[in-house]
Amino acid sequence: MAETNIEAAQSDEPIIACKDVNKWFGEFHVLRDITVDVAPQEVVVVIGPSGSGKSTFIRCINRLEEHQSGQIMVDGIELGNDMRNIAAIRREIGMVFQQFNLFPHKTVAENITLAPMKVRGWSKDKAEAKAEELLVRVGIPEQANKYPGQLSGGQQQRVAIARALAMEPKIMLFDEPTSALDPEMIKEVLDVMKELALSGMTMIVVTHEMGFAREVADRVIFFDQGRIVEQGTPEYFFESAQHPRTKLFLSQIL
Amino acid sequence: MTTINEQHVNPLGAKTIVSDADAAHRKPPLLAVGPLAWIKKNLFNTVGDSILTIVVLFIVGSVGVSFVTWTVGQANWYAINFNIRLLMVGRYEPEADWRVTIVVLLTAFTIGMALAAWARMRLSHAIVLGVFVALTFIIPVVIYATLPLPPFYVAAGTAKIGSDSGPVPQDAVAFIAVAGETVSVRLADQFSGSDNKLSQLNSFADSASNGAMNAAANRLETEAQIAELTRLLAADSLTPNQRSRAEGELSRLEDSDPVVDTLKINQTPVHVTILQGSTMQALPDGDVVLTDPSQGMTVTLPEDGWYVLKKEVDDPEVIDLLETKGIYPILLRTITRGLDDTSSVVGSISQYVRMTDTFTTEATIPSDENGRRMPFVVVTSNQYRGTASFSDYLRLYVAPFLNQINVFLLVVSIVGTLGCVVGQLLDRFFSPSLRPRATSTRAITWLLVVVPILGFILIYGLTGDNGFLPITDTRRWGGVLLTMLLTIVGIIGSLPLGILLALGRRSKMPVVSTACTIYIELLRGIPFITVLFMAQLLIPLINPALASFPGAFRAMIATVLFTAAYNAEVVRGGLQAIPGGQDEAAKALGLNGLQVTLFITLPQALRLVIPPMMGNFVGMFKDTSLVAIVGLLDLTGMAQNIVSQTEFLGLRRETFMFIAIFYFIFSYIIAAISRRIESTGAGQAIKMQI
Repeated sequence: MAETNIEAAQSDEPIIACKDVNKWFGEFHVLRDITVDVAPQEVVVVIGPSGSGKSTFIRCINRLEEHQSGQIMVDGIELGNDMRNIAAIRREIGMVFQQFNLFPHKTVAENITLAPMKVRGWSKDKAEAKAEELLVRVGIPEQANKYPGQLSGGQQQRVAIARALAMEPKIMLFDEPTSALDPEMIKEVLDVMKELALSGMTMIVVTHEMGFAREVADRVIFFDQGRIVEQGTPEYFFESAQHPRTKLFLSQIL
Repeated sequence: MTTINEQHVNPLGAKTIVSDADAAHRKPPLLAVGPLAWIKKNLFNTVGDSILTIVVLFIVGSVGVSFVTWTVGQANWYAINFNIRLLMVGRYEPEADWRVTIVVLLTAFTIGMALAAWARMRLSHAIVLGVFVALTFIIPVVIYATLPLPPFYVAAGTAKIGSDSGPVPQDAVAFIAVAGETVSVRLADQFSGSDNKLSQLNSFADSASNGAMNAAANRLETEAQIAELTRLLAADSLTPNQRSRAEGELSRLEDSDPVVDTLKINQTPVHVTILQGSTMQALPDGDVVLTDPSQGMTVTLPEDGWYVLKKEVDDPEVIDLLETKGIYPILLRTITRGLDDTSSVVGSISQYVRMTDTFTTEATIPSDENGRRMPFVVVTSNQYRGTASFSDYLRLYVAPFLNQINVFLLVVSIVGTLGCVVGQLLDRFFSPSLRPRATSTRAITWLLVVVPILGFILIYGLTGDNGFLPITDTRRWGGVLLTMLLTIVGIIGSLPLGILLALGRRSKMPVVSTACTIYIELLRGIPFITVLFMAQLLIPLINPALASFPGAFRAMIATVLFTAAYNAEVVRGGLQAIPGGQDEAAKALGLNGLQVTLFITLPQALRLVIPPMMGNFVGMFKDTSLVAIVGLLDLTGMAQNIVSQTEFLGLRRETFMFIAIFYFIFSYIIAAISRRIESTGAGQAIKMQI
């Protein structure tokens, strides 16, 4: 059974532990009693219809959104109003956005080196060496001195991944990283993400790429109306999901 | 022509058509793209368009024609030529002029380098500038070499002109000239013979010739009225009431003899002598009796200084009108300074300044045998009848004006070009190939910090009276110097303050944000002139010790505080235009709030707001003219000051027209540079990226 798999993955101390997390946008109850643990090196794919709260959920993990009740622990640190805790957690979490959000006034290399130098206090040389290494890893070493506006969408998203990795995070959050891309560019980004997953990075990925979920995920979580409706291994999820809402969703997208 | 190959017909009957590889290129029909087509399409497309075109062209044309007529034919520009220094630097200490020069050159260098770094200047720009500057040298030379000297008309004789209380010609007039210049005199026969001709007298004229001209013009007017009334009475179409009124009117008008006859204009020979002022001896060839108009006298003047033109007519009833060339009006100016170069004794010195080109002499004015100073040619506006011709306009105003500014323009252009070239060379040798303007950008950033500070220190001074760079008297700052100081201090002060206010207003801390909002709304709700008055009048009330704080500095503070409020709103607009994702991405990377602002949002926002910010600064540049109202002598204040001096009474239009043109040219240059930066340099880069 799938349950055993999850328990196996959770046998380590969880690196992300969410307990009864609730969030409201005004009167709208967007996250309802979310309880999830993520183990180190686990790849979690979050799927669900628009407005189901999946993006809000991962944005709560690095405090881009504030949760109003419940507890989120990341790497043993509790996320609250303490700015020092937030800063410490953000240092350990990389995030990749749907719209890339590269800094348009800085070159690719500057985009990547900025945070390590300013936040981690690295020397310029060290940061640049790291940037070079990461650009090779994401397959675009020749673009280092271009501005983001001169790159294709797929290249920009790979730069965004490299930028997040430059901080040497323990966890990577992906918020629909391929949704703004042309179809022929999706693959190049997914390939980078697969490579990252294989290298043992802890990842939470919000995506509509079911192929990716099936191939890479350790666990798939299905969100609907702010709740976790069902979760399990990809095999379980895509072949024997139980909940009618999950079945309906899968029948619509597959 | 395109040929169509029918490859095959499919069973459904639809044809598959493959055209030739290359269709021949043809030109579009001329009537569709030529200039005529353009005119038809853009100017006369519909009846409404045609009417609009004609009406607008008519309005623009008539305004333009009357403006040019006034500029060339009637305007009296000597107030500008004469007062260039006052208009540029006010009463700034002449011994500290070199400091202003250095600051101007540093600024030119900085602007040159800024253009290299941000605006992609090309050789063609330098060539256009070079041609323009060269023209400012060539045009005066050509004008002086080819155009005749403008005339100055003087009357000779002892008869009273116009009436018994009318002016009598002076028997001598003193003038100043430069060695090598020539003066020629002849009988002005173009004005004798009829009153019609006499009334055409124009250009510079002494008061007696003016009197004669006015008398002729008045008589012509009276004659015309008499003729009109006589015609009306003869026509028999008037009511009795109208008739009696017309008769009464007619009886008041006197028929008089032509002025040319009563004054016997040019009917006797005139004895003309030109004397050297220092010796009161007639010059060789300078003593002639002019009997008829074809005869003229031309004298070359041997030295700089005073000369006297004497003219005698034997017949006491005759007035002779003389046309002289090479004599210009003079202004007497009294200045206070050391009596000579070595003396520290301060005294009052009379300077005589030729109005047209500011040639100045301090030599004593010649006296007659009775020891009375000779009258000299003063021209006030009622003695000036407009230039006789376009040629006179060029000679009197254009050439001297260009000669006053061309050296300055040349030096500034050379230094500016040098700045541009240095910037480009820096880039060629030191910038990495991938970021071709990195070095000049870094250099210009430093210059933009250093030059204003250095410039302010140079102009204001550093030490007390006797040290290096003595402190100058801010009350003597004026003209363009003060306008520019206000503008540059305003920009440098209001930009950072505006940014802080914008960030403050967006702050999450209610106290900070409310305070900034109140400040911004308050300052934007008060007219600038009110802020200036408050700065001038309220500061001493707040703290009496500040009463001696110079007015120029108070105006600068007012400018900074006022403009900052507007800049804040512009910067806030820019910050709001930055997508929220930028802030989130930066935060997600672990940057703290200050770092996010400093490295991510603010730099992008500032680039976005270059155009409106430049608009603010151009607006501020023009608004500095309001300091004239609180008594500072900036360009506008100085213009007001000049036209209230007796020598320049009545020259308001010319003076204010000149400063208007000056303000326009400067604003336009700032706007043009900022447009160029937007379209080619930093602005273009950001547009491409966002």
